Amino acid sequence: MNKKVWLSLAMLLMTAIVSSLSIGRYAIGLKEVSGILLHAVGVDGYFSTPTIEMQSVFWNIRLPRIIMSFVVGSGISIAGATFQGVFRNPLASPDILGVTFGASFGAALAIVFVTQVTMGIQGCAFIFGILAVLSTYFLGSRSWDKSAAVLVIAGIAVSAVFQAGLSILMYISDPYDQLAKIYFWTMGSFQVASWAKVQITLPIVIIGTALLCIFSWRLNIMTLDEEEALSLGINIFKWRLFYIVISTLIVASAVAAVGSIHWLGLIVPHIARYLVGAEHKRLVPVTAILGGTFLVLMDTMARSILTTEIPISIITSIFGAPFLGYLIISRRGGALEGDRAN
Amino acid sequence: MTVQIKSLTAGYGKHPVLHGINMQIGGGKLCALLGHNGSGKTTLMRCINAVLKPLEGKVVVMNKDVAMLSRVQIAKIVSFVPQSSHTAFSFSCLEMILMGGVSRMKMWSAPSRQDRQKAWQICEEVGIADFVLASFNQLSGGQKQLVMLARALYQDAPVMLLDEPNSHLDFGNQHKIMSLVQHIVKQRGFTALITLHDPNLALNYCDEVIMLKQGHIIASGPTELTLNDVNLQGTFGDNIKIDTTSSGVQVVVPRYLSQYT
Amino acid sequence: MLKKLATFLSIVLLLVSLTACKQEQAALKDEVADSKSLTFTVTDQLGRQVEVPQDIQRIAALHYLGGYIAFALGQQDKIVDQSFAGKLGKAMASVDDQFAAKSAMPTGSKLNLEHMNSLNPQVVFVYASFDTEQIQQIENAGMKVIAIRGETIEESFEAVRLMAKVLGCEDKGAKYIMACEKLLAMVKDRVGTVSMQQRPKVMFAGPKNVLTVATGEMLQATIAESAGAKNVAAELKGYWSDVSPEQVATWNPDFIFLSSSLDLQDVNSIYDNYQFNTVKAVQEKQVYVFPSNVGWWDFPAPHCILGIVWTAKTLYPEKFADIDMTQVADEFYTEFLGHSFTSMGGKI
Repeated sequence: MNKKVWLSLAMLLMTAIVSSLSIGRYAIGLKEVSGILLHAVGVDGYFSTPTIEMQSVFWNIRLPRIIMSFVVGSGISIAGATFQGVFRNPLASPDILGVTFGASFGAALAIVFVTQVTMGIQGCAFIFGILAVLSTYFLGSRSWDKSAAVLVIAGIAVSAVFQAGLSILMYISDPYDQLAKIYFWTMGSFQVASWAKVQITLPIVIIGTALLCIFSWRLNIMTLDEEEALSLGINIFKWRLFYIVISTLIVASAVAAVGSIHWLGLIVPHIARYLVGAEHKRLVPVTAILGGTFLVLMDTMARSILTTEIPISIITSIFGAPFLGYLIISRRGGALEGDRAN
Repeated sequence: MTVQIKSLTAGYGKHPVLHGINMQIGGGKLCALLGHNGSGKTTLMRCINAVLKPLEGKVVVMNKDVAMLSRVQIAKIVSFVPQSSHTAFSFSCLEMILMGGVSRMKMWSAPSRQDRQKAWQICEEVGIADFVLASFNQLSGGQKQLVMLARALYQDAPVMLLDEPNSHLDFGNQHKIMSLVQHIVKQRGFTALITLHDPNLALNYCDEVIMLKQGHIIASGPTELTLNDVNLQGTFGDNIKIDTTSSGVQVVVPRYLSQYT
Repeated sequence: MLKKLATFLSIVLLLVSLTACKQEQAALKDEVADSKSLTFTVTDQLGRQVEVPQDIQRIAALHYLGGYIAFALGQQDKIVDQSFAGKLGKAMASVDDQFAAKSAMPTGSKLNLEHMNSLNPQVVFVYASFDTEQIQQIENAGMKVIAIRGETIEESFEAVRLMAKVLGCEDKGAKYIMACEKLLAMVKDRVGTVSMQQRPKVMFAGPKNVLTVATGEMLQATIAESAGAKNVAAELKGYWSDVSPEQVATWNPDFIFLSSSLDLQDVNSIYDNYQFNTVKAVQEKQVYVFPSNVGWWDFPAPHCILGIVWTAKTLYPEKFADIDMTQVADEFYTEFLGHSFTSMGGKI
């Protein structure tokens, strides 16, 4: 493990946390944050004692939001890296099996028909996200072809079905409130991040991320040709299912909580590969940390630059898409290396 | 007998490629598998390490029926050197070689320092220590083949299958690989089955040969006895014979070229 | 809700079975002759010159603004469709049989040209944001289209005058405007003198949730200003904007009004949400759902005058102690919608 890289990562993470804690629409800067934290452990006097309002805004609004964005960022990124390995495709993203469109459909269904209660929408999104991936897996396994490519095609089909359903729901929804709500949901937002949401999402994502890190070395072998991997001694079908299940649970809970966040799951693994190489035992944890850090920074921008909230996918797209273009053009390191001509 | 195959019928879809194959390979032997294109060589290999399920028959390796074994158990006794390998991601050669150890490791493990040292030793033995840290995808065909051979060695399974390792290699490298495999078999007591296109390589390096034609074994046994004109012509067609050079070396040559008639 | 479920299912069925829609033949198709009788030209609020016939007998309103004004001008018998939907439409249908008998006409992307054709209005009133291509389509089918708009109070008065001219009842239009201006003047008298600093801070939220706010360019800003309030989001531009809870805490409004279309959001859920516990409006329990439950008083229409009165009374209870909001609403509704507020189920 490259000590320099780890050190820079740690510093980046610290900078991200410190700056995010001290930036926001409410006037709480670094001094005030220190004051609040010290006050919480009973130490006063070093910085001005924070007001009740400041404490409330910090503990109830800002902190859960930062935690949420870190958790969601690392979850989606690590799922992206895992899918890229399992499907042997550098262009795979967590949406490849349909979880995002399934969850969007579920959320829209709840918004239009069932309830405006947040927990109801989240639950419905989660269920349909899982359902979508189940359908994809079921569809793909019916084929005589047991390769991973079939799953990708099944994922495209299932995504299309749920996307059509989503369009129908948007069509019949009340344009005054429901439609706007659905649309905003599909762009992703941490606006409603709260401790309640953190409590639900955090355990699933943390456990899932830990599992993916523990079993990350095996992913190296999953990237080989299927016959090769079998010959080396891995039951690729069982392991493929394992990685898909864990990743889907992570992504479904993340998407159910905050909506769909574009590009992150595709871009962050590539950046991580550029930094530490493609070997998965290193790559997977680095991707998680990097993804969490990036999303924290981007959400700080989303909630602070303007008075209004910017949907997070706009920021991830603005930074993500050009970076992908840069990777393609420069062809350095990472996953897009081809063979040298013989 | 290390590898025993009984009444094996196998193929893809409804049409079998192999018909009722019966054969055995003894321990510690380097065995060549010869046959024309489409005769079933690769199919046979796939059945031995259970990547392909046979339609009928049994494959027994080290006295165990491979159909009853898990993938991990099979990988502990059979290793496989493919014709070519390509990954979508850029791993170093050392990382590729370390992948060979997966059958010995716990599910949650990653290679330890001892594992790495062992892999290095194998690299030196195979002669690739110079470029082992380079990216695998950037190597030439011959170098890649050596890396995959090193990986199979690292896997440390007593039966080694090599699927046409010579097809992408230049003349010099072909012989280099063959002598390396021969050395490995002698030194470690492995059993190796290697599919070849060039009968000369079988003649020069292999202890035994098995000759396939259209999914049937037409001859098998020690090289000196089995690799003769009759069997060669039965496998590859009329235009082949064994000749002896002026210095006494036996070579397989085409029959109808003017200089050989 | 049931209707939406049915729509959802029927779209799916349609794709599968290609069932033909039922034809709603209006028997009156032949009645209106394409007479080359007297016409005159007006300019609508999109700047279009439209030639409309004299003595119009059949009109359609594809937006509630047109519906409101048509009722206010006493022309509701001429409307061929249910010109408003939602809560107001339901309330109207429950007290007015004539209204209930008319067919509803969904607008926007769901507009069914053939259906409208079968109802055969002579003039169709649409909102100025209506798709221009669809306007063309309607006119091609032989119906005239007048575009109206009411984003500010003055604009909605313009709409009233325009519609009154088209329908030949300009005196009724003037009467309507005068009644609105009387209420406006009453409010202005009492709160016009309050300086900017002393005005209470108001945040208008909706329609998605409490974190979506009305900007300085919207009607809600006009309502707030006319009622003697200060809109916390006054410097924002454009349509409804999303903000973070932190921003709400920074603004710290004295009053929060939830858009009347947000009836699903319970005021209590805002009081219970700990993320708002630093906000003055929450601490002092000054969060209200904007009225009313029969007809939105915060949407572009002259009826929003009632919203201004209500806002002023809520912000300055002492100055408006003598005003009974229900009575004002009753009088206004009876005069300009044909039924009293309370009879339609209205409650403040």
